[in-house]
Formats: sequence, structure tokens, C-alpha cells
Amino acid sequence: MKNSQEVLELDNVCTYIGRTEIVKDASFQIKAGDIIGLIGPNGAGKTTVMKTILGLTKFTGKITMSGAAITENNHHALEKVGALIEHPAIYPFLTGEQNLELYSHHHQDMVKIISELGMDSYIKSKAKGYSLGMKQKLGIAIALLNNPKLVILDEPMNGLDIEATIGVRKLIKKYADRGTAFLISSHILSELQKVMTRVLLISGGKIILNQSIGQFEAISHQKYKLTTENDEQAEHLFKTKGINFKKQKQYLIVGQEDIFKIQDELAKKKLHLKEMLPIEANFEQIVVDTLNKERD
Amino acid sequence: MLTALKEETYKFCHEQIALLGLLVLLVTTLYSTLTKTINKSTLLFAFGAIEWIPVIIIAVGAAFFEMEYDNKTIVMLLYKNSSKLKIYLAKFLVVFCYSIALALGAILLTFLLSLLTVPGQYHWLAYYQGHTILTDLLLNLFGAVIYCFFIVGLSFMLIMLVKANTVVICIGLVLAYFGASFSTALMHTFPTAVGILKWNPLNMIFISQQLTRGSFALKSNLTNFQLIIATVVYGIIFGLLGYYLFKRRRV
Repeated sequence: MKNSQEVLELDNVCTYIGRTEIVKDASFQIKAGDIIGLIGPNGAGKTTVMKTILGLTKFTGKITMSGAAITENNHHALEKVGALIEHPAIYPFLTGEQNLELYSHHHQDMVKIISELGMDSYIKSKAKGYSLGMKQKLGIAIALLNNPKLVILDEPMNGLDIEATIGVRKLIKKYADRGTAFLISSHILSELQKVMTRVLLISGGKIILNQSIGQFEAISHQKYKLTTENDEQAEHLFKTKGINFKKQKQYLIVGQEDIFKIQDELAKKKLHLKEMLPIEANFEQIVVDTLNKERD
Repeated sequence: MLTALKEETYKFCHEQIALLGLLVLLVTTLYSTLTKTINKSTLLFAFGAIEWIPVIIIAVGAAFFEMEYDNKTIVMLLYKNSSKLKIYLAKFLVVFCYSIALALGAILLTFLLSLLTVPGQYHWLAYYQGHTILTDLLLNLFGAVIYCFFIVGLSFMLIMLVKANTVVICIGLVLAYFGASFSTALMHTFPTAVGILKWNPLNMIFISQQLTRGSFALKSNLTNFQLIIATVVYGIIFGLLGYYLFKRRRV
């Protein structure tokens, strides 16, 4: 039941810690059902962006949640926001169930989440005995309580085993299909790639890219590998015509943007292509390349 | 505010520190029973509970606040509440109510221990220097509760300042054991400045004894009324400073 209803909007948001500007002029929107992957190197400002949305830091600019403004001192708009920031917020002296009860408004909803995350067997035991993965699942469960419109998850897959990771991924998709929006940061990009619908790339506190996952993979850096009947001649031709290429094993690697020019130049020299195949986009590499480009 | 109060009470009741505080009170009063000669004064001061309740409160107060930072639950607490003041006040009230509960527990313990150790030797309603023993016991515990208001404020301020439970507990112990004598010594050393020095916060420790022993007024240089008002005012000042630090503390 995805729809285009706007859930969250950041408009020229700058966050300060002391006098240092950590997030610089961030503007983006999150719509119902979106799963946004917030990606960036360590210290880029991912967690600060999340904390700012939750009204936990000083900021300038405007943040609205379903049209209502969020400020450092007014969190009413955050009633329909669930979050897991850095570490699961768990009281170790309470059982998992008691931890959930502390925040839950609907008992049935809580029971369902416990079951969906496979926590039934240990939910009645004290949280101090939980493993990292169990704590993480409890943290995610707390974030999903009370039918949130937006869920903010900072490194949600930390400490989860494969089975739990798949379970959480399915749950995120299920909630997103119902209209819940997600803002997720993770270092496990391959995992994020499987769920997210949009990419927000952040570097040095600046949002440097905001694209749908499809656009990001297709447009960004698609490369082709090719061989000709005379690669030495082709290399010489590319150099003289200013076409960027890399040699990798028996292939010449070229960018998508040069494909028509290459075909044209090869035809003029009557050099026949033996093979030309697109290289599957490696998500991690794309991210690294985009970040490097930004740094340059 | 009511929701915040309910949540804080729920957490406090489930946290072992509350039970541990009660246990410390029990052990210390038992220790006094077994090691000291039991006389009227022992009963008036609830077998030493009057001295121990503030020490327990400073430790419990600091631990109850700091656990939110230790468990990282403070993030949840802050973003789910618009008002930091509500969180702070709810915690303050819960710990203060706990000090009242400890005082009530001390009354019960005093009755029980006196029954076991000196049965029928002292009559609770018999007059002694113009007051019954029961009245004096209640007055002393009232003083201890007022002092606990001061201590909760101090404990919250200190934990926001130093961010380490153990340091706060050490400061609490130093205050309990040396605070009064230090304050008296200070006023003896600078007799001309007594008018100002008598308002120093360490002097407020006398409240737990002076209400039933007028002679302590010579040490504190404050009347009972002045002592009560000053203790409450200091509690408010420390509480406000603690709140200011809490508001500024980064998560």
C-alpha cells in the first residue's frame, strides 16, 4: 500500500555540536513506504542526521514530520517515529517484554512484533542475559511499536545472525509495503542494497547524492568490458581519441558514456568488436567511486 | 507528567538498587543494634537510620539517573518526551518519595528492633524533655526527609557534573562523615564571618539532629526554622543546577 504521502522533510538543516557544524545544509524528503539507505564513511554525519531528526541536537533550518515542525524542545511530531540509534535502548533489569511494555500502546501489536522477530522463547527473561543479537532485535522491536510512520535504524544488522538478518529484512519490507517509511544506515552495504529504495550519500556532513536505487545503479558508473580483433591497435586509437580505458586481463574496460564514440571510431578504423559486455555494477564500488569523486 | 512519573516509578521498582538501598538500611540498623548500647538516643535516631538514609539516597539518586546514560536509554527517553523538565522532575520525585519510604521503613524497623532488644524498657508516649520519644523520632525522621530533598538535588547535580556514580557516592560519604565537623571548624576558625558562613551548605547536615536537640543550634548557628528553609532552598538550587547541566549534556 505504498503512496506518495510525505512523511518527513528536512529543509536546509545544519547541525552544530558546540560551534562545529556537523551536518551542512541537508535537505531531503522521505515519503510513505520509502526505505532510505543513509550511506557514508565513518564520521560523515549519519548518526548526527538521525539524532537531529529526533530533536536531540541543536540545528538550524526546518524539519517537519507529516507537516508538523520538530524542534529541540518540541517532540510532539515524533510520536509516530520509532528509532534505534547506535545501541538498543534497553533496561537490563527488565525482561524483554517489560522493556516493550514501557513504550507500547497496543498489547496485541506488541505480541505480533515479538512473534515476527522470533523473540517468543526469551522475551520473558531479563534483558541483561541477552546476546548482542537478541538485544538488537529487541531494539528493532521497540522501534517498530505503535505503528510508526517513520522508523530510523542506525546499523540495525549489528550482531544479527544470517537468519535474523533475513527476518529483519523481510519485516522492513513488510512494514514499508504498509506505508511505514525507513531511514537506515548500515556499513553492510550489500545488505542495505537488498532493501532500500533510495540512496542518500553523505560525506563530510553534506548530502552529496539523493537518488532512487535504480537510478544510482544504472546511471552512476556503469562500465563495459570489450575485446577487439586487435586490442593493441584499439588501445592506441583510444589514447589518441582521448577515450578513458583500463586494461583488465584480456579486456579493455570503458565507461558507458564512451560507448557510441568507441563504436564509431572502431568502425572508422575497420576494427571489429569481438565481445562487448556490461559489467555488473558493484554497489560498494559505486559508493566508493562516488565518494572519491566528491573528495576530488 | 503523570506518564513520566509512572514510567520512572515502574523502572525504579524493578531496578535492584531500590531493594539494595533498603537492604543497606536494614544491615546498618542491625549493626547499630548489635554493636552499640541501646538507650533513648538510639531510639530517637532510629538505630542510626537517620545518618544512613541520606547516604543511601545520594547513591541511589546518582545510580538511577546515570543508568539511563549507561544503558543508552537516554536517547529514547529524550526523543519520546518534549520536556526535559518532566523527565528530570519525575526522577527527582521518585527518588524523593523513596527517601520518604525509607524513613517509614526506619520507623517500622525502630519499633521492631526496640521490641526485640529493649522490650518494655521505654514507653513511646512517655514525655522526655518536653517531648515523647515517638514525637522526637518522627521529628528526626522529618529532618532526615528534608535533608534528603537537599541530597537528591545534590546527587543529581553531582552526577551531571562528574558523570561517575562512584565519585558521587564518595562525595556523599565524605559529606555524611566530615561535613558537619568541617562546617563547625570553619565557623570556629572565622568567628567574625559566622553570619555568612552559617549559611554554607555543609551546615544543613545539622537538620537531622537539631530538630530534637536544641543544643545543636549552638553549633549550626541557625534556628530550626532557618535550617529547614535553607535546606529546602539549597535542595532547589542544586536541583536547578542539575537540571541546567542535564539540559546541556550531550547524548
